[in-house]
Amino acid sequence: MAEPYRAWEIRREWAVFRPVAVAAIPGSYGVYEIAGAAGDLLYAGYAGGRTLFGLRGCIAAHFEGALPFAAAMQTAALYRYEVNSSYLGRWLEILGRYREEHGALPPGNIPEEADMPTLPRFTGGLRRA
Amino acid sequence: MELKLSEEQRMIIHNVRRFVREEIVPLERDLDPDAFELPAREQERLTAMVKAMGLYQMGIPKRYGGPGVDMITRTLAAEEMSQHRAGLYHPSYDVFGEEPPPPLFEATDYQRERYLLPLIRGEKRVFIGVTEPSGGSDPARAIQTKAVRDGDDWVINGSKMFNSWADRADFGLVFVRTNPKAGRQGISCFLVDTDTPGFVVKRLVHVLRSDYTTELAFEDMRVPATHLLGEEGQGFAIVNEWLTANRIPYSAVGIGVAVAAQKMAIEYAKHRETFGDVLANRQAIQWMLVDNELDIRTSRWLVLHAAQKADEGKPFRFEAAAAKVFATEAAGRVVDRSMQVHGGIGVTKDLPLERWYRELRIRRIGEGPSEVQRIIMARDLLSAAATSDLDSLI
Repeated sequence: MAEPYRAWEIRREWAVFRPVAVAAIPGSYGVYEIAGAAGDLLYAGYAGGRTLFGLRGCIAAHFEGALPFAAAMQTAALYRYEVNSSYLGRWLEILGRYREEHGALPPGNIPEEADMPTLPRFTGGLRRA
Repeated sequence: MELKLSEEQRMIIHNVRRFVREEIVPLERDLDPDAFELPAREQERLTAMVKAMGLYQMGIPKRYGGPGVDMITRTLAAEEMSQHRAGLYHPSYDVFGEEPPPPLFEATDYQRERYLLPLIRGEKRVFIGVTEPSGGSDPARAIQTKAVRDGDDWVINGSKMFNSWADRADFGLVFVRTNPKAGRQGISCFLVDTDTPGFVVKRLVHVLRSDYTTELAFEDMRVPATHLLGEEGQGFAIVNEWLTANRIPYSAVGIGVAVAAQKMAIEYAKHRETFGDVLANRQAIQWMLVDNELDIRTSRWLVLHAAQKADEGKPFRFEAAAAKVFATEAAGRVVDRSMQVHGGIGVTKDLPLERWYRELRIRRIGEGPSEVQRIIMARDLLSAAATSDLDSLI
């Protein structure tokens, strides 16, 4: 059976992080995901209005271990991103969908959960169950 | 006719202004420029401050334990609450409380207990579901979502579009068609819990503003008959009443943003030098600042006039529509000119102007587009329900 179309997902293919290729990542606003080698999502983030070098700066920082939650990211291998000026809403959408499917946030996002905006909820029936 | 602020009104304006300057604006320096919520601990701290100031949910009538502040005063306060980056869609990040939709005050005892009182206490959040993919400006015809009676329940099927907060709210006022043959008399309003099986947030709809809206689907969603708000077939009257009343604060927050932009433009013009002189000495800039002020002051009079009529219990449909058209369009012009005064820095995310510019564009469409407001006003002029004479002030 074909997998259902998941319109909220970032459509770009996963890429292996290579320091020499950092310059090809746009310096724009947007959302991004960091995953383990098997595509298991470790962290979803956004490059917002106060981010230096946009998506490029954010993604590079993860792989350079410069972020406080680096412990959860030791297996980080892949990344993908989406240039989007509605980056906050898209970020919450990705996290909200992930939480409904997995019952918790991606491991790298859990330490920052207390300071996060309210995540969207999608299905009334599922929530009650 | 007198427009003189009372001591209480002056105090409220002063307190709200000081609160925004001392508590909200400094917080925004550390938030993302597109932020539309505060961190939970800040939200709780500031809400507690507002409650201690006695300014939480100012519009709640005294019989429900609220301050019962009149519409004019709330309009003046709204202008102050919105003078910061997120202020257009989230004045003071909503720490002054979410005012319940007026029809909830006429709800049954059961409904008041379950929905209104928790909303007043800040324990629940509400959304409004009117617009559908088939349209929103003409709800009498555009509402296709159907409710069919089945024993003690109604079974609802259909969809809604552009519902702010539906994914984060606890319940909604959902307008549906209960009689397909009765036109506008065939629409009813239901109070729907968002955890009801069959209530689906189909997708988030990302728009020009920083916060998003939602598209909803109702799939055999079963709602008890006790959740019907008002009488069956009364939904159109309810939505009309709510939309008309909401046009006044909706316009007022736009003025607040325009005032904030104008202050920035004046300050910048006094300091920025080009060709050996400050911008403030250039006639082109002076005229922009004056045009801004004309737009702001005209908007304020129209909005206060609508608020005054509402407070006096007089019909204010025409005045609210006039205020909405003029104030939303004028605020867009003011921010546009202020951006022009600032030049390149005005379009960066370093300043709030770019966010206001984007978000104000929606205000000419949201809550009934300018064209619909003009239709409302034209109807009243042609039927003599409104007049250009001085009688319009009475």
